[in-house]
Amino acid sequence: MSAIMRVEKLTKKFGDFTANDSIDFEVKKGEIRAIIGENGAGKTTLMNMLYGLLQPTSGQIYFDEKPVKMHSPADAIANGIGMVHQHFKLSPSLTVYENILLGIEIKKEIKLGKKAVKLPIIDNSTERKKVDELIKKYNFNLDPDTKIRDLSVGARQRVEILKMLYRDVKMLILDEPTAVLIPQEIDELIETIHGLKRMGQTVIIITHKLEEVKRCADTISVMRRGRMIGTVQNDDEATSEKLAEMMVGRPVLLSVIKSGKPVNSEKVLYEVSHLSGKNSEGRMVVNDVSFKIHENEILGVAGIEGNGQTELMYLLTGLMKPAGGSVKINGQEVLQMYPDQLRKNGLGIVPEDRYLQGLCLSMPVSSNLIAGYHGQEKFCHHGIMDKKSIRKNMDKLVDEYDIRLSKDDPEVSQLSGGNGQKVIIAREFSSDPSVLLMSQPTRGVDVGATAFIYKNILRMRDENKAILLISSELSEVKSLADRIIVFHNGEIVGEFIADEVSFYELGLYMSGAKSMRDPA
Amino acid sequence: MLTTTKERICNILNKLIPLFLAFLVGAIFALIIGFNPFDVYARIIKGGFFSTNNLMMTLGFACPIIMTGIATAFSFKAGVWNIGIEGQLYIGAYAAALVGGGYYGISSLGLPSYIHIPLAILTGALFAALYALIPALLKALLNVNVVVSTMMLNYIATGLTNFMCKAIHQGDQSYDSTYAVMDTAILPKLDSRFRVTYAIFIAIAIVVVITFILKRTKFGYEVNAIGRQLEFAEATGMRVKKKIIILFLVSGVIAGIAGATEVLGVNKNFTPGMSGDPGLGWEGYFVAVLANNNPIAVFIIAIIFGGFRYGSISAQSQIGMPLDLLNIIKATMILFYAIRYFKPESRIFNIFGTKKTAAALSDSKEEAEQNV
Repeated sequence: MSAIMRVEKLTKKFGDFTANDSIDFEVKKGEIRAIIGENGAGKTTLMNMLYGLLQPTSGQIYFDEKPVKMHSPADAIANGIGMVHQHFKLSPSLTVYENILLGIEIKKEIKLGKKAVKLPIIDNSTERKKVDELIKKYNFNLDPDTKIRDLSVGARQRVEILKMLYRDVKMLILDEPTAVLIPQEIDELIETIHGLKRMGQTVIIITHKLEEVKRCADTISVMRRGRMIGTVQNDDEATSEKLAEMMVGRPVLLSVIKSGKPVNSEKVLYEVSHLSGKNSEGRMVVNDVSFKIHENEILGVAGIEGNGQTELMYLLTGLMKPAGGSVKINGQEVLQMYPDQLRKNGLGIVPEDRYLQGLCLSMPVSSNLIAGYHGQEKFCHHGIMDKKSIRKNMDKLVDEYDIRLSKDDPEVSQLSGGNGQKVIIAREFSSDPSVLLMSQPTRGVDVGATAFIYKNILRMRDENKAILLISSELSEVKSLADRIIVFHNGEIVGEFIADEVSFYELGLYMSGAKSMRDPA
Repeated sequence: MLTTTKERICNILNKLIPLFLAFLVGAIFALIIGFNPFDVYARIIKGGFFSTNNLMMTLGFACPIIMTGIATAFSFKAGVWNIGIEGQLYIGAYAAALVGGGYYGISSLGLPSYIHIPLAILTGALFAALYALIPALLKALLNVNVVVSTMMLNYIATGLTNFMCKAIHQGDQSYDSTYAVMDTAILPKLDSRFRVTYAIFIAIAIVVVITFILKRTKFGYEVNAIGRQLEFAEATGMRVKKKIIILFLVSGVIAGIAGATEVLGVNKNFTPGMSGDPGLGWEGYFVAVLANNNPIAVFIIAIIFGGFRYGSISAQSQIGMPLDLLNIIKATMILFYAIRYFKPESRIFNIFGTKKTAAALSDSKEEAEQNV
């Protein structure tokens, strides 16, 4: 079979951040290709370039052996590339066929002599007939007259797929198609995808869920940190564990030298017991989680992203209402406290989303370096900010943490990702907390800054702190942590001594294949 | 340095162009109704600013606009789109008019000026603040859209005071009004010939205090953060809901003082149309938007607006130019102001070099965050 699409040295940069780094890959006609990788691996950026939503910084896309340049989704569709997004773009009050023909409505014609003149009136019966034929052709279980608002999520997704098929695409990209589906609908979707293949369609599925990939893909391409790691046949050799390993990366990128200072197992600094939390839809996203962190200890949290780690961090940092449980710092109950109170009680917080929660982009570095601590006596007397001490604080931290500034006290928006993260690290580490909570501390951070951050994390550990380290980078967790707990579906499914567990074993727990919860 | 110069040039151009375009549109309308626009503009500017006497009148018109402008800017700074200043001003003015007018037995107390005036002003401020508390609580407890609630409460305030004035507190005038403010409650003028009263000192004090709060206090720091990035403010433990309520109350107090001082010093009674057209609250909104919520800029622009107001009154008396022409100019100014004509990353700046600017970089970084 020949390649329907080929990509050569495709690179996409945002500022100084490389989202896609010289990607080479090809997709054969009529195959089902899965592209897997964690959030932030660059899958969506790649697909957005294939669909004309983003223009590559360099590199070339070939479709049907012809070089193509796409400036918009309309270009992509004209070339025969269609995409169904994770969030559907349908109008709930219109019917199935109206949605499918939205934007390319068939108009009524009248004959004036020999000329056919189009009227500005939609020819509903022809539209309906055409859509009905299409549904029959692909054997989709849909009624063209149903309104979208009356359809299940799975059926809506089929409408989105039909929308693309009607526009005669030859290759269909599905972005996280199972993210919003319940298990039965996932079965239906996989059935649909196989049906499309039988009709000669090429399908690309982007996802980070391994199980579904195993069930429907012919070949699997793995991306990590903006690079294409490799493509494998979906056969018995491509086990979930092997794929997980490829996704998170086995090799330790940076050598980490631990001091060897022993964990003080006598002294528990941070204790979480039976903590639970529900998301806005009422689903238990953190379920009965308990763990302790001792003095001089780093507890790593491993897990495929989206398994409750984000919500755990929200619960622990006072940004989400808990459904139950208790959290103690040094024996003192701190659940339900506001973030500034938590900081006052000796908690340092490095949040997952640097630019949303960690930093205020349009405020200067000096203001960012006191955020969360700005009400404390050091910076603020009787409600009035102490400009001198804020300034001194900045000068000191910029120097100590090697934060590189282009000019005096610039806005944080002018810093690179690594320097931005250093601002947060400097702020939280310098406050001398007894417990540090960190989530994705090196995401999008260059290698140099990553090494610097690792060094400081280990320094904090040796300075008698207790540290929680949540990261999707498995090698990071394994090389820094003393102990590792594995998250799956909002629960702790395994607990290990970091030096005594293999990546392979962790992969089994992360993918849900093994769990300490069920003895089998 | 290159970027900051560029940004500065952009800023100045982006402020001047709407001004120019608004006066251009005004000129077209002036021509349509048969006036020479140059003559009209010359008279407005001369009438508003070109003599000490005129400036004193201008300050009188500017005084309440300074206060409503600050009230608006203070809320806007935190991203709270409180456009209810007009309504709060009405409530404050009305409450002050009742105290000043000696209703409810106050006239028989024989209060001296130094008690009566502050009492009337504080009552106005209090009731306006209470009125502002309604949208504040709706926002904090039920997350009701502030624009909608404050806008509707404006209508309720004007309607309510109008009704009260007609039905219950009708004074001795042939038109709808409260009783005239008692002599002991009249806020004195700086000079009896001019409009400006001692309220101008209150206005200046408000500008100074609010500037201080925003620049130097913890509260100001948090207001800045809330207005720029809500998630950040929450993640660093700024009690956002509480702050929003305080913001509303402070805005309400300032709006109330604006209404009260206008009634006690200038109008001497409450009439349902006291705020003019557009109302003083709306003038304050214009000013806050043009000043980009900077209190010092509010002060300056409010005085310019006051000058326009007085200047067009003299233009009206001299050549019969309708006052509405000025409203057209002000409204179009806001409209044109909503457009960013020049960005630092615009092509036009390529003549200075092609280096990517900081703003463009941060934009693309945000984009990167969304896309990866």
